[in-house]
Amino acid sequence: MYPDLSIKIRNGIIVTSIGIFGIISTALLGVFYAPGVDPIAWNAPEAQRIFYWHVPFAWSSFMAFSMLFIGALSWYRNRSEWGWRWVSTGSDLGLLFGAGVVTSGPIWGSVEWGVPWDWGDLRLNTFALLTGVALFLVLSRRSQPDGQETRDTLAAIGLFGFALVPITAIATTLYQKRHPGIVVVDGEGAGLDPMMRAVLMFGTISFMVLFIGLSMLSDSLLRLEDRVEQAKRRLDEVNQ
Amino acid sequence: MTGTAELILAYAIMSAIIAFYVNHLRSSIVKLSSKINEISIVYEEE
Repeated sequence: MYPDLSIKIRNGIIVTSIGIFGIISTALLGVFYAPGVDPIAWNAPEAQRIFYWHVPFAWSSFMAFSMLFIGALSWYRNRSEWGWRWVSTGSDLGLLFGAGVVTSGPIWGSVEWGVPWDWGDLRLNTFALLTGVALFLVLSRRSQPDGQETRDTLAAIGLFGFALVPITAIATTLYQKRHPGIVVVDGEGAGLDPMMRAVLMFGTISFMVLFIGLSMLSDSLLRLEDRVEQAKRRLDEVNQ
Repeated sequence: MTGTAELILAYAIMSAIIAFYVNHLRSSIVKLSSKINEISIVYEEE
Protein backbone atom coordinates (compact mmCIF):
# COMPACT_ATOMS: atom_id res chain seq x y z
CA MET A 1 0.00 0.00 0.00
CA TYR A 2 0.97 3.63 -0.39
CA PRO A 3 2.96 4.76 2.70
CA ASP A 4 1.31 8.23 2.89
CA LEU A 5 -2.16 6.67 2.88
CA SER A 6 -1.17 4.00 5.41
CA ILE A 7 -0.12 6.70 7.86
CA LYS A 8 -3.32 8.65 7.25
CA ILE A 9 -5.49 5.55 7.75
CA ARG A 10 -3.60 4.64 10.93
CA ASN A 11 -4.05 8.18 12.30
CA GLY A 12 -7.74 8.09 11.30
CA ILE A 13 -8.21 4.81 13.20
CA ILE A 14 -6.52 6.28 16.31
CA VAL A 15 -8.64 9.49 16.26
CA THR A 16 -11.85 7.53 15.56
CA SER A 17 -11.09 5.13 18.43
CA ILE A 18 -10.57 8.08 20.82
CA GLY A 19 -13.86 9.56 19.61
CA ILE A 20 -15.73 6.27 20.10
CA PHE A 21 -14.29 5.94 23.60
CA GLY A 22 -15.43 9.52 24.32
CA ILE A 23 -18.98 9.06 23.06
CA ILE A 24 -19.42 5.77 24.97
CA SER A 25 -18.19 7.58 28.11
CA THR A 26 -20.68 10.38 27.38
CA ALA A 27 -23.57 7.90 27.17
CA LEU A 28 -22.54 6.27 30.44
CA LEU A 29 -22.09 9.66 32.16
CA GLY A 30 -25.41 10.89 30.76
CA VAL A 31 -27.32 7.83 31.94
CA PHE A 32 -25.65 7.08 35.29
CA TYR A 33 -23.94 10.29 36.46
CA ALA A 34 -25.81 13.37 35.18
CA PRO A 35 -28.73 14.50 37.35
CA GLY A 36 -32.25 13.83 36.14
CA VAL A 37 -34.83 16.47 35.27
CA ASP A 38 -37.84 17.43 37.35
CA PRO A 39 -40.20 14.39 37.09
CA ILE A 40 -43.24 16.64 37.56
CA ALA A 41 -42.35 19.10 34.79
CA TRP A 42 -41.43 16.40 32.23
CA ASN A 43 -43.62 13.59 30.95
CA ALA A 44 -40.67 11.23 30.39
CA PRO A 45 -37.78 12.32 32.65
CA GLU A 46 -35.55 9.33 31.84
CA ALA A 47 -35.93 9.75 28.08
CA GLN A 48 -34.52 13.28 28.41
CA ARG A 49 -31.06 11.66 28.76
CA ILE A 50 -31.22 10.95 25.02
CA PHE A 51 -30.10 14.53 24.48
CA TYR A 52 -26.47 13.80 25.54
CA TRP A 53 -26.08 12.18 22.12
CA HIS A 54 -28.94 13.81 20.23
CA VAL A 55 -27.55 17.38 20.55
CA PRO A 56 -23.91 16.49 19.61
CA PHE A 57 -25.28 14.42 16.72
CA ALA A 58 -27.10 17.55 15.48
CA TRP A 59 -24.01 19.75 15.85
CA SER A 60 -21.86 17.16 14.06
CA SER A 61 -24.37 17.11 11.21
CA PHE A 62 -24.06 20.90 10.89
CA MET A 63 -20.25 20.50 10.70
CA ALA A 64 -20.75 17.88 7.98
CA PHE A 65 -23.06 20.17 6.00
CA SER A 66 -20.52 23.01 6.36
CA MET A 67 -17.87 20.64 5.01
CA LEU A 68 -20.16 19.82 2.10
CA PHE A 69 -20.68 23.53 1.40
CA ILE A 70 -16.94 24.38 1.48
CA GLY A 71 -16.19 21.37 -0.73
CA ALA A 72 -18.89 22.34 -3.24
CA LEU A 73 -17.56 25.92 -3.39
CA SER A 74 -14.02 24.66 -3.96
CA TRP A 75 -15.24 22.27 -6.66
CA TYR A 76 -16.96 25.13 -8.49
CA ARG A 77 -14.07 27.58 -8.13
CA ASN A 78 -11.21 25.44 -9.39
CA ARG A 79 -12.53 21.88 -9.85
CA SER A 80 -10.29 20.73 -7.04
CA GLU A 81 -10.18 17.03 -6.16
CA TRP A 82 -10.08 17.79 -2.46
CA GLY A 83 -13.23 19.88 -2.92
CA TRP A 84 -15.04 16.87 -4.37
CA ARG A 85 -13.71 14.62 -1.59
CA TRP A 86 -15.14 17.12 0.93
CA VAL A 87 -18.51 17.03 -0.88
CA SER A 88 -18.46 13.21 -0.67
CA THR A 89 -17.35 13.06 2.97
CA GLY A 90 -19.68 15.92 3.99
CA SER A 91 -22.72 14.23 2.43
CA ASP A 92 -21.84 10.83 3.99
CA LEU A 93 -21.37 12.30 7.46
CA GLY A 94 -24.36 14.63 7.03
CA LEU A 95 -26.51 11.59 6.36
CA LEU A 96 -24.93 9.60 9.21
CA PHE A 97 -25.44 12.26 11.89
CA GLY A 98 -28.69 13.55 10.38
CA ALA A 99 -30.17 10.03 10.45
CA GLY A 100 -29.21 9.77 14.14
CA VAL A 101 -31.01 13.04 14.89
CA VAL A 102 -34.20 12.26 12.94
CA THR A 103 -34.53 8.83 14.56
CA SER A 104 -33.66 9.70 18.18
CA GLY A 105 -35.75 12.90 18.13
CA PRO A 106 -39.10 11.21 17.32
CA ILE A 107 -38.38 8.45 19.87
CA TRP A 108 -38.08 11.14 22.55
CA GLY A 109 -40.98 13.17 21.10
CA SER A 110 -43.33 10.17 21.11
CA VAL A 111 -42.93 9.70 24.84
CA GLU A 112 -42.52 13.37 25.88
CA TRP A 113 -44.95 15.12 23.52
CA GLY A 114 -47.21 12.15 22.82
CA VAL A 115 -46.50 12.45 19.07
CA PRO A 116 -43.25 11.49 17.29
CA TRP A 117 -43.33 14.35 14.81
CA ASP A 118 -44.80 17.84 14.53
CA TRP A 119 -45.41 18.80 10.92
CA GLY A 120 -45.91 22.40 11.98
CA ASP A 121 -42.47 22.80 13.59
CA LEU A 122 -40.04 24.61 11.29
CA ARG A 123 -36.89 23.20 12.90
CA LEU A 124 -37.96 19.56 12.65
CA ASN A 125 -39.05 19.83 9.05
CA THR A 126 -36.10 21.85 7.73
CA PHE A 127 -33.71 19.44 9.46
CA ALA A 128 -35.47 16.44 7.92
CA LEU A 129 -35.25 18.14 4.53
CA LEU A 130 -31.52 18.74 5.08
CA THR A 131 -31.00 15.05 5.90
CA GLY A 132 -33.04 14.22 2.79
CA VAL A 133 -30.64 16.33 0.69
CA ALA A 134 -27.69 14.37 2.17
CA LEU A 135 -29.47 11.06 1.43
CA PHE A 136 -30.10 12.18 -2.15
CA LEU A 137 -26.43 13.14 -2.61
CA VAL A 138 -25.15 9.83 -1.19
CA LEU A 139 -27.51 7.73 -3.34
CA SER A 140 -26.79 9.81 -6.46
CA ARG A 141 -23.02 9.52 -5.99
CA ARG A 142 -23.36 5.74 -5.78
CA SER A 143 -25.78 5.34 -8.67
CA GLN A 144 -24.47 7.86 -11.23
CA PRO A 145 -21.26 7.48 -13.27
CA ASP A 146 -18.52 9.71 -11.85
CA GLY A 147 -17.76 12.65 -14.14
CA GLN A 148 -17.66 16.41 -14.25
CA GLU A 149 -21.38 16.77 -15.09
CA THR A 150 -22.45 14.57 -12.19
CA ARG A 151 -20.12 16.39 -9.82
CA ASP A 152 -21.39 19.81 -11.00
CA THR A 153 -25.02 18.80 -10.46
CA LEU A 154 -24.47 17.25 -7.04
CA ALA A 155 -22.26 20.12 -5.86
CA ALA A 156 -25.03 22.57 -6.89
CA ILE A 157 -27.59 20.62 -4.85
CA GLY A 158 -25.16 20.63 -1.92
CA LEU A 159 -24.79 24.42 -2.18
CA PHE A 160 -28.54 25.03 -2.22
CA GLY A 161 -29.10 22.47 0.55
CA PHE A 162 -26.70 24.37 2.79
CA ALA A 163 -29.10 27.33 2.77
CA LEU A 164 -31.26 25.23 5.12
CA VAL A 165 -28.51 25.13 7.79
CA PRO A 166 -28.90 28.71 9.14
CA ILE A 167 -32.71 28.40 8.81
CA THR A 168 -32.67 25.22 10.90
CA ALA A 169 -30.16 26.62 13.38
CA ILE A 170 -32.13 29.79 14.14
CA ALA A 171 -35.60 28.29 13.64
CA THR A 172 -36.00 27.70 17.38
CA THR A 173 -35.30 31.35 18.18
CA LEU A 174 -37.44 32.79 15.39
CA TYR A 175 -40.23 30.29 15.34
CA GLN A 176 -40.39 28.28 18.54
CA LYS A 177 -43.18 25.79 18.59
CA ARG A 178 -42.46 22.36 20.02
CA HIS A 179 -38.71 21.77 19.79
CA PRO A 180 -36.78 22.86 22.93
CA GLY A 181 -34.55 25.95 22.61
CA ILE A 182 -30.81 26.00 21.98
CA VAL A 183 -29.21 24.60 25.11
CA VAL A 184 -25.52 25.34 25.61
CA VAL A 185 -25.41 28.50 23.52
CA ASP A 186 -27.83 30.17 25.94
CA GLY A 187 -26.45 32.07 28.92
CA GLU A 188 -26.81 31.44 32.62
CA GLY A 189 -30.55 31.82 32.35
CA ALA A 190 -30.85 28.65 30.28
CA GLY A 191 -31.57 26.65 33.43
CA LEU A 192 -29.25 23.80 32.48
CA ASP A 193 -27.63 22.16 35.52
CA PRO A 194 -23.80 22.68 35.55
CA MET A 195 -23.25 18.91 35.73
CA MET A 196 -25.56 18.32 32.76
CA ARG A 197 -23.80 21.09 30.88
CA ALA A 198 -20.38 19.51 31.62
CA VAL A 199 -21.50 16.09 30.33
CA LEU A 200 -23.00 17.69 27.24
CA MET A 201 -19.79 19.64 26.56
CA PHE A 202 -17.73 16.47 27.01
CA GLY A 203 -20.07 14.74 24.56
CA THR A 204 -19.76 17.57 22.05
CA ILE A 205 -15.96 17.43 22.15
CA SER A 206 -16.02 13.62 21.84
CA PHE A 207 -18.31 13.81 18.82
CA MET A 208 -16.01 16.43 17.26
CA VAL A 209 -13.07 14.03 17.67
CA LEU A 210 -15.16 11.21 16.17
CA PHE A 211 -16.17 13.50 13.31
CA ILE A 212 -12.50 14.32 12.56
CA GLY A 213 -11.53 10.62 12.72
CA LEU A 214 -14.34 9.55 10.40
CA SER A 215 -13.50 12.40 8.01
CA MET A 216 -9.87 11.25 7.88
CA LEU A 217 -10.90 7.65 7.16
CA SER A 218 -13.50 8.67 4.57
CA ASP A 219 -10.97 10.93 2.84
CA SER A 220 -8.41 8.07 2.81
CA LEU A 221 -11.02 5.73 1.34
CA LEU A 222 -11.78 8.18 -1.48
CA ARG A 223 -8.05 8.61 -2.20
CA LEU A 224 -7.68 4.84 -2.21
CA GLU A 225 -10.57 4.48 -4.70
CA ASP A 226 -8.87 7.04 -6.92
CA ARG A 227 -5.54 5.21 -6.80
CA VAL A 228 -7.17 1.86 -7.60
CA GLU A 229 -8.70 3.47 -10.69
CA GLN A 230 -5.30 4.92 -11.67
CA ALA A 231 -3.60 1.55 -11.16
CA LYS A 232 -6.27 -0.19 -13.28
CA ARG A 233 -5.75 2.32 -16.09
CA ARG A 234 -1.97 1.80 -15.98
CA LEU A 235 -2.45 -1.95 -16.11
CA ASP A 236 -4.79 -1.62 -19.09
CA GLU A 237 -2.21 0.53 -20.89
CA VAL A 238 0.49 -2.12 -20.30
CA ASN A 239 -1.82 -4.87 -21.60
CA GLN A 240 -2.64 -3.00 -24.83
CA MET B 1 -38.61 5.49 35.25
CA THR B 2 -40.81 6.80 32.43
CA GLY B 3 -38.98 6.77 29.13
CA THR B 4 -36.29 4.18 29.99
CA ALA B 5 -37.26 1.91 27.09
CA GLU B 6 -37.16 4.88 24.69
CA LEU B 7 -33.78 5.92 26.11
CA ILE B 8 -32.32 2.46 25.44
CA LEU B 9 -33.91 2.30 21.97
CA ALA B 10 -32.58 5.72 20.94
CA TYR B 11 -29.02 4.95 22.10
CA ALA B 12 -29.18 1.53 20.40
CA ILE B 13 -30.25 3.04 17.07
CA MET B 14 -27.64 5.84 17.18
CA SER B 15 -24.92 3.29 18.11
CA ALA B 16 -26.01 1.04 15.24
CA ILE B 17 -25.79 3.94 12.77
CA ILE B 18 -22.23 4.77 13.86
CA ALA B 19 -21.22 1.08 13.91
CA PHE B 20 -22.64 0.59 10.41
CA TYR B 21 -20.62 3.50 8.99
CA VAL B 22 -17.38 2.55 10.80
CA ASN B 23 -17.76 -1.02 9.49
CA HIS B 24 -18.46 0.29 5.98
CA LEU B 25 -15.22 2.35 6.08
CA ARG B 26 -13.22 -0.57 7.52
CA SER B 27 -14.43 -3.17 5.00
CA SER B 28 -14.05 -0.79 2.03
CA ILE B 29 -10.49 0.16 3.02
CA VAL B 30 -9.53 -3.52 3.50
CA LYS B 31 -11.11 -4.48 0.13
CA LEU B 32 -9.43 -1.65 -1.81
CA SER B 33 -6.05 -2.25 -0.13
CA SER B 34 -6.08 -5.90 -1.18
CA LYS B 35 -7.21 -4.90 -4.69
CA ILE B 36 -4.35 -2.41 -5.04
CA ASN B 37 -1.88 -5.09 -3.86
CA GLU B 38 -3.30 -7.54 -6.43
CA ILE B 39 -2.93 -4.98 -9.22
CA SER B 40 0.65 -4.22 -8.12
CA ILE B 41 1.57 -7.93 -8.27
CA VAL B 42 0.02 -8.34 -11.75
CA TYR B 43 1.73 -5.12 -12.91
CA GLU B 44 5.14 -6.37 -11.70
CA GLU B 45 4.63 -9.76 -13.38
CA GLU B 46 3.81 -8.12 -16.70
